[in-house]
Amino acid sequence: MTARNNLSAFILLIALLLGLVSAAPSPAGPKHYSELQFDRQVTWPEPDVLTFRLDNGVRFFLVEDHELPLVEVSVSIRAGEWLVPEGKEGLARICAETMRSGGTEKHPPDILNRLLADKAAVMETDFGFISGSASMNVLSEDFQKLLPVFVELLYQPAFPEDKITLAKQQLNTEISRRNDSQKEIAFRVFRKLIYGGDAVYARVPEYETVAAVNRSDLLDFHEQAFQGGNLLVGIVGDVNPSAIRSLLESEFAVFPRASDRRISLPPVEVEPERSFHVAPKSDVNQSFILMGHLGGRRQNPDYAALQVMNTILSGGFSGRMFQRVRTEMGLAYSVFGRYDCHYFYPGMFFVGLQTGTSTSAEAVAAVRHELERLQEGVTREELDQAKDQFFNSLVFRYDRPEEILERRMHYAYRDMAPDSFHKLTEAIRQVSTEDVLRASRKYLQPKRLTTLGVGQKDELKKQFQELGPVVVMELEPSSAKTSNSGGSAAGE
Amino acid sequence: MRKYLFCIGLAFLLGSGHLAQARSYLEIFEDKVSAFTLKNGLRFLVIERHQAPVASFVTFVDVGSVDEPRGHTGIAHLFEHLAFKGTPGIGTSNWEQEQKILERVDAAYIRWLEAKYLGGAEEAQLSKFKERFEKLRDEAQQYVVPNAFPKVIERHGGTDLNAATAKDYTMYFCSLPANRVELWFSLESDRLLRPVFREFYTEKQVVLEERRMRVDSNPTGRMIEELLALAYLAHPYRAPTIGWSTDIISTTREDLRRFYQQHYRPENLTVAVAGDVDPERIKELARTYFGPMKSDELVPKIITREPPQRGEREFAHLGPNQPMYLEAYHTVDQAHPHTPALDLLSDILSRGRVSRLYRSLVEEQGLAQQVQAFNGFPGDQYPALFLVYAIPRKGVDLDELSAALHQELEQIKSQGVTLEELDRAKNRLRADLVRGLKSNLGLARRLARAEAQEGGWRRVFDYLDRLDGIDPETIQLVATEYLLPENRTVGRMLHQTQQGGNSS
Repeated sequence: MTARNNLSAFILLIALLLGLVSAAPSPAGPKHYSELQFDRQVTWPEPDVLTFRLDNGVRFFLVEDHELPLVEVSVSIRAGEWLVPEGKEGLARICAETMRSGGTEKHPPDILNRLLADKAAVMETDFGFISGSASMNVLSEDFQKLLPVFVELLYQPAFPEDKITLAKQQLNTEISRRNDSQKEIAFRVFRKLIYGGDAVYARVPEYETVAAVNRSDLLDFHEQAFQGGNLLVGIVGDVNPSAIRSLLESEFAVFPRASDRRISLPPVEVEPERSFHVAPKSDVNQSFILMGHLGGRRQNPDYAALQVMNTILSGGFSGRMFQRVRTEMGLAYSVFGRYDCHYFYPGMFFVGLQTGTSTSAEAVAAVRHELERLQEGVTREELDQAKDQFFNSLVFRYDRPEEILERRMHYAYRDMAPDSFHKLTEAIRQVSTEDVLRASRKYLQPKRLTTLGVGQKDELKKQFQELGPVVVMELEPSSAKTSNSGGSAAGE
Repeated sequence: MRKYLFCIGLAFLLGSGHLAQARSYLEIFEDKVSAFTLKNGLRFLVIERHQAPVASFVTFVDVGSVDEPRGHTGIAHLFEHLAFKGTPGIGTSNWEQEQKILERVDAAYIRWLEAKYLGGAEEAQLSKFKERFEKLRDEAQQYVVPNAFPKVIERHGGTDLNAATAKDYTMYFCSLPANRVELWFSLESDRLLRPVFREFYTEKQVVLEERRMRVDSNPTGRMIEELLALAYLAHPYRAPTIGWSTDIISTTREDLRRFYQQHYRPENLTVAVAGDVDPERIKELARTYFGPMKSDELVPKIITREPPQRGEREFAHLGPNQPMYLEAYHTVDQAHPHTPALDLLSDILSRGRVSRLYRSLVEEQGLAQQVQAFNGFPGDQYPALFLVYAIPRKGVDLDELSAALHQELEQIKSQGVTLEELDRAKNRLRADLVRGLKSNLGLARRLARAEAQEGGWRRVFDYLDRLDGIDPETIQLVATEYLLPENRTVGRMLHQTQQGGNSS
C-alpha cells in the first residue's frame, strides 16, 4: 500500500494576521524597533514525505536531505512501560538497554561496538512510558551495510545473561541515587499524588521489581513490542527514498504480522483536592515546588485554546509566571508550567518553581494568585502576543527536514491525520480572548491544587501550615511512599 | 554545484582524514563566510546558509568571569542578565522620571549594604534602611514595562533567545525569521550601546535563586565549585562564574557601569550572523546600527598564571547523597600544541561503548555507573584542567573505583594507545565538528568564538589538521606529562553513613 504525499506543491502561508507589508531596504539611520515594519508573510516549500506500508504492518516515512552525508533512521515502537505487568516495573528499560548492549548472535557486543565505532555510527534503543524508540545514525556510504545489522538488532537481540545482570545493577544504582536530586524527587512524588500512588502512570522501578525481571520476561516483552503493526520507521538524510525502498521492504519484512495494537489505559481515579505535601531534602537552601492537578487529553476540542492559555501563562519571557514570579517578585530563576494534554491518557496541569526556603509560601501564594487572575480573563494584547509568537515562529518548526518527519510520525503513532498540525494552526488562529477565559475556567482549579515542596522539612511544614493541613512524607532510599499508598506517610 | 562540493568535503571529513581533506572543507566555507570590521573595531562574520528563511545571531563578547574585579565575582553574569532589561527607549514608560528615582534607589541600597556588612548598625536602623530602599525600588518599578525587550523578539517569532556567561566569554544569541534582520540590529545595538540596568535589585534576587539552584542545592555543583577553588590558587578560574552570594549582594549599578565601560567596547565584540541573509545588507545595517559605538582605551587581559602544583590536593563533602568522585589535572590552554592530543585522550578514555574506562570500569569490573573524562575545563583560554568524573555502582567503594581508574591511566602511560583507537577518536571528533555546524546557531556560535579568541574562524577547520598530526606516541606523552598524582586535585562526595571508610 502506497500513499505518495503530493506535498511538494504545498506552500505554507504564515500569519497574515496584520497583513502589513513594507520593504525597508536601506536604513537612513538607526531606527527604534517600533518604527520597523516587516512582511508578515513567510513562505517556504515543505519537503516531500514518502510513506508506504508493508504487508506485515510496518509503516515508513522517508524524507531526503542532502546537506550532510548522513542518514538518520528512527523507529517508533508501540510499547513501553505501560505494557509491563505489575511487579516487574523497570522491565521495558532493562529490555531497551540489553537489546543494544547484548548485540545479536551474529554481532556479539564487542564486534558490534567496534563495527559502529569504526564507522562513527550510532545505534541506540530506548523505552519510555508510552512508546519505545530505536535509532541509527550513519554516514550515507555505510547505510546499506549497516541497515541489516540494525534490523537484526531489533529483530533478534541475543539478550545474554551477563548484560541483563549489568542492566539490572545499573538500574538499581539509579534507584539508589534518585533521592539526590530535588527535581527527580519532586516529579516522581508529584505524579503519584496526581495519578494515585498505584496508578500505572506513577509506577517506578524498585529493587524488588528489578529483581523480579528475568530473561524470559525480556523475550516476552520484545515479542509483544516488535510486531509489524507496532513499528513506524522514519528515515531522513542523504538517501534517495525510491532507491532504498526495496532494501527497506526486504529487511523489515522479517517482523511478524500483527494487527495494530490499541493502547487502552485505565482512567485516573484521583479527585483533585487542595492539599499540601512536603518531601524532605536536608542539604538544600531552596525548595523545589510543584503545584497542580490532573490535565487533559489531546482530543479535547478546546486543545487550541489551551495552547494559547499555556503561552499566556508561561510561554518564554512573555508569560505571566515568568513576568510575575521571576521578573517582578524575584522569587525564582526557574519557573515553568503548563496544562498538558496527552493522546492516550490524561496529562498533568502543573506549575513549578525553585525558590529560597524562606520564600516558599510566598511563591506558592503568588502562583495561586496568578492562576485565579487568569480565570478573570486575558487581554487582547496578551492574546495577540501569544498568537504572534506562535505564528511568527512557525517557520522554525519547518526549518529542518527531521522536524517534519518527527511530526508526521508523532501523529501517525497516535492514529491522527497527517495534517493535524496544520489543523491546529488554523484552530489557534480562531482562538479569542473569550475562548481562553472559558478554557481557563473550565480546566484550571486553583482552589483544588495539590502542592508539593521538596526541601527543608521543618521550615516547609511551618510555612505550608499557614495555608492548610500538611502531609510530611518520608523518602525511603528505594521508594517514595505517599499518603495514597499508606506506608510511612504521616498526616498532620 | 556548490552544495555538491559541500557534501564531498564533508564526506572526506567524516571518513578517514588527510590534510588535503580538511583543506577542501575549508574551501567550501570560504565561499559561505564573509567577514568585515567596522571603523570602531567591531568585527562581523556572515555565514550564508539558504536552506530555510531563518537566521541566527550571536554577539560574542571577549569578557568572562576571569576578567572580574576582586570582590565582584559574578558581575559578568549579572551584566548578562541586566542586558535583557532594556534601554532608555525600551522597557520604560518614562525614562527621565525613572532615571532620577534609580539614582536614589542606588544610594538607599548602598546605605543599607554598608550598614549591614560594614557599619555594625542596630537591627532597627537596618530595617529602616531596608524599608526605605524597598519603597524607592517599588517606586521605580512603576515606570518599568517588564520584559519589553524579550517580548518584542518573541512576538516576532524569535527563538533560542538567551545568553551565556562563561569563564572566558559572554555570548548573546537568538534566531529570527530571516526577514527580521533589521529588528535584531535595532534591538541588539540599543541594548549594547545604551544599557540602563533597571530592575537591578530584583534581578539580583533572581540570580541568587539561580545560584541556589545550580550550586548550593545541587550536590554536583557544590563539588565543582570547591574543586576549582582548590585546584587553582592564583588564577581566576578558581572563582565561580555565578559569583559568591555576598559578592552578588554587594555589587552596585555603578560597579556594573564601570564593568560595561571597560569591557563592552567594540574591539571586544564579534557578531556572527548565520542563515538566509545577504552579506551586503548585513554590512549596511552593521554600519548604521553599530557604527556609533564608541571605542575607548582597552583594558588588558589578566596576566596571572597558575604556579605549578606542588603535590596532590584533596577534599571531601559529607552528606545525605550517594558517593561521587572527581579528579582534575592541570594541563594547557587551547592554543597549546598538546590540546588536540588531550582531547583525543579524553575521547579514547571515556567516549562510547568501546572506550577504555567504559569497557573496564562499567562493563568488565562493574565498579562504575558512569565515568567521563573532559579536557579543557572550566575554560580554554588559560591553562585548564583535565577532569575525570565517576559515579560508582551501588555499594562500590570510592577507593576501589579510583584505584581501578588510575590503573587504566597507568596503562596508557606505560603501553600507549593503539592506532585503531586513535583513528576512531579522530573520526568522532571530526564528526562532532560537522554535526556542530549543522545548525545556524551552532555555526554562528562556533565561528564567532574562533574569530574572537582563536585567531580567526578558519582555526575551526585547522583543528582537523592539528588532529591529523597526532600519533599514538603523542597521546602517551601527554598522559605521562600531565596525569601525575602531584598535579592532581581530588574531590569525593561521601554518603554520611560511610564516612571514614572511604578516605585514603
